Amino acid sequence: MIVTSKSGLANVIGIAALALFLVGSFVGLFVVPADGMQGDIQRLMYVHVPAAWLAFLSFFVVFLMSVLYLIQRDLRWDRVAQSSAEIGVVFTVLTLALGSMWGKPTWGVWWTWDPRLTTTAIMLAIYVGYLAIRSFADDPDKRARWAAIVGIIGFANVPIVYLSVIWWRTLHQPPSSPRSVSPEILWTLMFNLAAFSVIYVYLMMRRIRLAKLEGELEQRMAYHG
Amino acid sequence: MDNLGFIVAGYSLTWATLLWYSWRTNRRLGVAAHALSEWTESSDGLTDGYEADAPPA
Repeated sequence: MIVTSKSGLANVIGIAALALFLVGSFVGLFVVPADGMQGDIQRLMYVHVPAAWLAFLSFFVVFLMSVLYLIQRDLRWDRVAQSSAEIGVVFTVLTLALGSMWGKPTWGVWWTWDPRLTTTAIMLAIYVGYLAIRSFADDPDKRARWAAIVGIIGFANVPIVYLSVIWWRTLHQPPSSPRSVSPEILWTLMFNLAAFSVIYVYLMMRRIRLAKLEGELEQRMAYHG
Repeated sequence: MDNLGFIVAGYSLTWATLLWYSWRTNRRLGVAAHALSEWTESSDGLTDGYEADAPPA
């Protein structure tokens, strides 16, 4: 373990994330009442929706850092983009898996080629491709340039995922508004969203640090053979 | 609680995935820090202050 003040801060954030998610899970499972229409299975919303939102946020960060990299050609932006893409992929896999677990008892199927599900699967494929393309270039600048182009073009699909339930008639429900949801459900969802956001910050701190160390190792190996 | 199996599976999967990814990242971080520390120890004049403890199991 590296001993720095940054890792000390990351540990504090990690413990806070763990505590927040413990409370969020407890409230989502045992405190907030079951949904009047769907019953208890709606409790999966408290992990499914935050995972989806954090996936969107992760890929927005990839887009932003990719633009910054192409403007400034600074590898620090590439490291942030790479880290956020990897974490975004984890959140997207979770979103799809949790959606599937929610879909089976609600819709009767694990998977259907519904526009929301299909565009989310495409989003996952784009960012898995983003991570894969990085392994095709040895030169860090070339790798960062290729990845930045994919990170910018690939982001075009993210608003499509969000708007798919509005644009097309889908099996997936449209986004709920705070006025149509009871306060207990809304606050529990917001609390879990906050917990997931702190988890994202923690994971990003660790993953960016890893990308930095791996970059330095790669640089030294290239320099010394 | 109806659909208990799906609910338990969903929350368990979420916890397991996030803990696994965090563990994996920290483990990779430990390995990279150790490799960099070994490198700086064996290369005079390249020390830049990285410290690492024993390599992770």
